Amino acid sequence: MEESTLSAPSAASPAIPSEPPAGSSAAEDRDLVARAQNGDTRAFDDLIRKYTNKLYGLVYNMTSNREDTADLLQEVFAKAYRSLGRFLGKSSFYTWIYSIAVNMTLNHIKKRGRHMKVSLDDVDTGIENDPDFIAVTTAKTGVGREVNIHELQKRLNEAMMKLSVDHRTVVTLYDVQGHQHAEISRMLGVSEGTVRSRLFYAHRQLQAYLEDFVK
Amino acid sequence: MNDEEFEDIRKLMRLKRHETPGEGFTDSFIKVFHRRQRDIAQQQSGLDRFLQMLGDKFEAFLNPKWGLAAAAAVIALVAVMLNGFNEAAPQPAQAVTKVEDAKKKAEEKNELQNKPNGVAIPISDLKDSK
Repeated sequence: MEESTLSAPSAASPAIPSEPPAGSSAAEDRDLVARAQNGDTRAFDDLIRKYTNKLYGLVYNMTSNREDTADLLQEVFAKAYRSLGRFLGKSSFYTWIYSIAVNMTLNHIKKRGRHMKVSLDDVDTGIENDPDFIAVTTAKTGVGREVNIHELQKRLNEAMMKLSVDHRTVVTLYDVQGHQHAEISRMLGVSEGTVRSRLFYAHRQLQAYLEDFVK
Repeated sequence: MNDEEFEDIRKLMRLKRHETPGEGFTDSFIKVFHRRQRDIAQQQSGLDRFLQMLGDKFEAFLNPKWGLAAAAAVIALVAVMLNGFNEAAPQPAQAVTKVEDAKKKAEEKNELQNKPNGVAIPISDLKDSK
């Protein structure tokens, strides 16, 4: 790893959790955050390492653009680093950084408007063994059918981009990333009912766009 | 609104998990992060850092939702202030009455001041008046 040259974020009182730890991951985060708040830049590197892939998935699935995703993610972590001194642990670090990423991505999408360009990541080879992929490629009659992975990827991304940004956000968080309704509600600052309602309408639209894959 | 109804769609969307930036992304990402932070630290003046911090702190208020709330609060405040101002200021009719009252009081005061107050009147004068 490149030698850390970051200056320490403004020191603040160590994070005091307001909710019980959800497991060793939450406890580990609290420790890393407290160390990073006290100027340990390697602890912040560990937080980046821990959340880069998850946040990458979030931003990428909301933008369908890999270059924008990498840039936005840099800004997300830069902002988290600057604001770390003010993070008091009222929510978990995980929820906090997700909220930053969602808000920054929504602002980016609103700024870009209709000028969003699609630039897709590669699909990893593991998809062929994924039970969901096998289910999709097997017709309900039990007869296998040919599905071009790249064609499928293109269609999924097109369908996502046809959704409103609010609907795309909940589909990304719930379906793609597997978050619970309550977690999404905290990240977005909306009620669980709103999350469920957005999901319902988003799923209904997706079903119409992708009907040839779900028949 | 149950998940079972859309299970097939959910299976399809879960496949998007296989779109990944590739191996080695995180390490190069951290290197870029450090380089950018170093560049920012070298380029930014104290004022830039202060403005950045201020921007981060008040960014929430740039959210349209908060903007509307702030606008509503300002309108309510102005309305309350105007209402208070109207109550405090005298109505035109009241103002005229007050001016007239003040005039009367001034005249009465003048009359009192013009009267010889406790001055002895010579007896000859009293006789003349009879």
